Amino acid sequence: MKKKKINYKSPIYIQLREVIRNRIEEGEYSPGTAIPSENSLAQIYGINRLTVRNAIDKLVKEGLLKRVHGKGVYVLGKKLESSINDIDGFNGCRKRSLLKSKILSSAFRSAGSKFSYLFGIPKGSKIYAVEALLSEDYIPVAYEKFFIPKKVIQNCDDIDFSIFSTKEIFDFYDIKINTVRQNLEIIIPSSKMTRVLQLKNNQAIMLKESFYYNNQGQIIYFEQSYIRSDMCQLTVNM
Amino acid sequence: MSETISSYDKALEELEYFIIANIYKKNSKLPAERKLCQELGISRTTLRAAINELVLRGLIVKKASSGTYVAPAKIKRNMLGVDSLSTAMREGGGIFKTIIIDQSVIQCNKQISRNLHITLGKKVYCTTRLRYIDGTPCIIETTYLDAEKCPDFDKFNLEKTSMYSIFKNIYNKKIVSGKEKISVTYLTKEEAKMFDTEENSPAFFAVGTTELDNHERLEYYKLILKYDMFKFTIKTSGEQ
Repeated sequence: MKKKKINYKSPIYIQLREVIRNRIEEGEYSPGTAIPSENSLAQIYGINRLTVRNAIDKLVKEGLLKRVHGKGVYVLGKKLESSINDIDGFNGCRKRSLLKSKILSSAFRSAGSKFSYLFGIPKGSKIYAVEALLSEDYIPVAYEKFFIPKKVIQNCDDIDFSIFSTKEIFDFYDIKINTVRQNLEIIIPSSKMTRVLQLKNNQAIMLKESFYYNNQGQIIYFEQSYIRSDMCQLTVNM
Repeated sequence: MSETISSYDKALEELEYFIIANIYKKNSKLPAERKLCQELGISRTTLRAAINELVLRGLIVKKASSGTYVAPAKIKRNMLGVDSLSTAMREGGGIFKTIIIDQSVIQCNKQISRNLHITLGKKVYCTTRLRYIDGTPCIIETTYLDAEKCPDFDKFNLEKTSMYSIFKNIYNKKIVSGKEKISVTYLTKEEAKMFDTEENSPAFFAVGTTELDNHERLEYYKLILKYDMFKFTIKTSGEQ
């Protein structure tokens, strides 16, 4: 067999954003250290400074880099990881006490059309609504809203949802969860969410909605997590 | 303790209900503001605020001249099992058109080595494709393959043949598992041009690897997905 000569080309499609990302992942640019200046990056890759700045801006928004005024651009440590396969998601993190959960509000309220439809309960029946903020070192990571019909757990209002995960609570009450369906989307935060999550520079956030089904196929718990994508990334095993 | 919800939250939930229950069909125009205000018993200011919130959430779209519409359904990227990953999303679910942006042979670097479990310097096929669904460019997919596992990979026409059918039919390789990390990135000028959208728009950034039944790595890939066209979905068993 004739040996073919390998023609190694570098890919034509190179994005500086990806080049810097790769250097960070390879550990060539390590957390806590500054990356080369915009000028030297422009020189190394033969591109103009504006393009370099744009690439860095994107990675700052992503939460991989941090600009320190008058000093340079620094590499941040790893983001939090939350596994989608683990239905406890962030609660898993919470248990390892990485994240603090603060209940912002909790109360029974009546179901309008949306929750009556979701939970298959009459309009006006009571549901328990909780808003919570998850933070790491006082920096918000996610804002969560969740809803449980009163008929699923009568004494919802006595439970401390900042201590136990949903799964633990359902276990306590011997409520079987058959399946959990989760949707993940990217959304543009509202001004309220920008404030609550302390977002900067037009960052987008992830919205994860979780629907917990019982053995009869009814939804017994619904949760919305508004996740800061610069603080956290999601993993999935297939 | 019982709490009533604000008229804003009420408006939001009612509108959401109309959309999720499919009472307002996808792509259809919302009823006139006046009619909605009457129906929901809310002020115009409250209604507009609620509509704006749902625009941000991607449930409603505003069209410059003609008004407010229910957004088209997002394409579901199902994370349940590799089969659905390869077939439902990658090959089906709409008409796919593929354009090769770049196809090159490169030397395995640290990054690729770590993800494909092959030694540095080995020959790797790197393919970047722009993919269209129903005529809209919405996925930029870069795939790295070990040339030893996929000999002469560059001879295939990837604009006409799916990678998965090549893996399956030519190399006789069956993917059984995979791992993916999902985060948000912001489009570069070039990417935005490909998607026909604005620079710095958010996008899904999914990086993953796929494995064969003998636990060998097959692919290392990076996907950039137009954010307003996709949602990731997963169904898990409650028995854990």
